Amino acid sequence: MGSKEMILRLQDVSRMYEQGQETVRALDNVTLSLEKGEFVAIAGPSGSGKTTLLNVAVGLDRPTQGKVWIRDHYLNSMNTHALARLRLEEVGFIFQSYNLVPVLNAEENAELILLLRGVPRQKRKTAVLQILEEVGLAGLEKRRPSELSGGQQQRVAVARAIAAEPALVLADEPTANLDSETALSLLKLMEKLNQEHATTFLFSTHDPRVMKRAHRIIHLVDGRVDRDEPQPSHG
Amino acid sequence: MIVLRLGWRNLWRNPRRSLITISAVACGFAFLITLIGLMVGLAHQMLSNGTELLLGDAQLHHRDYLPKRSLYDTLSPETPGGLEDWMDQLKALLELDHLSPRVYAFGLLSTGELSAGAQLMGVDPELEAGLTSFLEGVAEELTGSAEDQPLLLGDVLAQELEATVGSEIAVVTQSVDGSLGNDLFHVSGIFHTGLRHLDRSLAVFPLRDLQQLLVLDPDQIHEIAMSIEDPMAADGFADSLNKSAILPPDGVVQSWGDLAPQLRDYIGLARGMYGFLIVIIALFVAVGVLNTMMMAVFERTREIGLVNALGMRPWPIVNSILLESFFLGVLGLGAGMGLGAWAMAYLTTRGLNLTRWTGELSMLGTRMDPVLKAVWDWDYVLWSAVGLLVSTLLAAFFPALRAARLDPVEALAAPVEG
Repeated sequence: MGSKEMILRLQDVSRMYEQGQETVRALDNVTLSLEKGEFVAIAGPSGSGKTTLLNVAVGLDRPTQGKVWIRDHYLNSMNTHALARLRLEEVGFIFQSYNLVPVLNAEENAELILLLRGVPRQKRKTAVLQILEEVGLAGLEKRRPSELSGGQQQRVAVARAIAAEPALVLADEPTANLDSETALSLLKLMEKLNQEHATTFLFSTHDPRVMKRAHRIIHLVDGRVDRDEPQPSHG
Repeated sequence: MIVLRLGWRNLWRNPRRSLITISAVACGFAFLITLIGLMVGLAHQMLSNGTELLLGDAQLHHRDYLPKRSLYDTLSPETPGGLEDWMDQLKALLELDHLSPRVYAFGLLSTGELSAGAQLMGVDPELEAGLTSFLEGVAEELTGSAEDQPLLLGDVLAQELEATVGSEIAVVTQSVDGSLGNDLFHVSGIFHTGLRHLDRSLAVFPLRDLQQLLVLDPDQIHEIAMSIEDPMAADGFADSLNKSAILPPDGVVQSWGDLAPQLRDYIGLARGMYGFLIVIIALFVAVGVLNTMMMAVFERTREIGLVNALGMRPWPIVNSILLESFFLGVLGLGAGMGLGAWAMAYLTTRGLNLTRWTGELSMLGTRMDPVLKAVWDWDYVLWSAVGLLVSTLLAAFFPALRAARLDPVEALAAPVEG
């Protein structure tokens, strides 16, 4: 483990919000790190700080205190534009739902990150068609999100997230709106991509069936890391 | 380009709303095309009536002739061939359409016991008919034999003198040698310009007859009226002619704008009005586009948060919204051009008939046709299009900036579009 590349590191991270007269502590002294190729779930009930943790981890939100690194990039010292650039270069996203740009078809959605990165057209097309085939969407490239099922939409989001081969893929409750069979299938896909591409996955969930697939589970309770444990079945 | 694709496709996400906004731009543009077309038509009519009736596009006088109109301030070109030769040279050199020499005086006209003061005007009927229209239909009545001593009268003046064609008129005026010039003339025609001050005061003679009455040489004249191809270029024409050597040393050329400043003022005012109209319509269009784009950004808050989270920089977000607005504007301008061209096809040929409300009318000393015909002015069509397009882009700028400044975390938590 020690020789592996560090992908994400949070050190004593807290995030407080003002809510009327009260100060809400969404994250409370969270320290954790992820290495290359890990497949990690953040588990916890609603309001435990899962989404806040993901947002802070990739610079969508800034910590009130504590430090965050993605690879060797120190996020605290970066401005908004630099953070946007970092996300484009290093992070893939899969959100809970309505993950895609409705006016772009599956292929265009999947190639969005490559396009924003300025990858040449031919290279982009090749990579996207290959990844869409890999996620089981061959033949559906020209369909708009409204013409795809929920599971297919999430597969497009997965394809988009990994097409540019990011260091880290974040998924915020990616299976929350899917039926069990589709959810399981999506998780298997993410796991396969994790193993084949050595892409680091960090996803939040409160579904025990999803947690079972994770190789490591970080339990959050009231914004604090309650437990951080590897899954025995995945060694 | 992704922003082009996003801009174009986003336009059609809410087709009804987009079509309403496109229609607003189209109606605004068509309104500007037709209204400015009618106003330009009115200005053209005023200008052409003002210059074609009597004034000409420019006039040459002795530098002291205006405004006193002294009988003694005549022009006499010093060319060996005399006035006719000099006018031929001038016409050829300046590629003038037409020019006409004139002589003026004030005098008393009498028939029996009736008399009236009048402005006496001597013209070459053939040259005058080529230049102006006030003698339309009667100019040839001045070409009778010298013994006839023909004379044309304005219809109001003829009424006052109870004169008809064939009536004998005694004309008394001061001659340049200090004597009293008087002679008998015969009314050979009666004209009607529609402008009361001309119909009441003008008596027109053959040039040579009036020169003889005033004891002027055949080469002595008070005025040469000229017409050029583009009346709007008359100021430049007058300036360049004033600097040329072909003019007699004491001659000065003035454009219609100098001679009838009220006409120039009206045309200047009309141009200001066109600009004002463009601004007003552009403001209305901008409000419509602002509303549309604000709604669009509001509905797409989550989606904008998504692309922001993915790493799209603010400018592509701004550009995609500006492009959407640009497409709205361009489609609206295209439709408005079609609508405006359709209206102009009617208004330029059939015109707007105001007879029922106005009857015979004149404005600023020029006779007006009560059937108002529109005229295309492509400069103002272009300015209208540019004004509306700029207003659609400016109106979209605020929502675009708002979109670019959305906090991705808050945007991602926003409700999803319909």
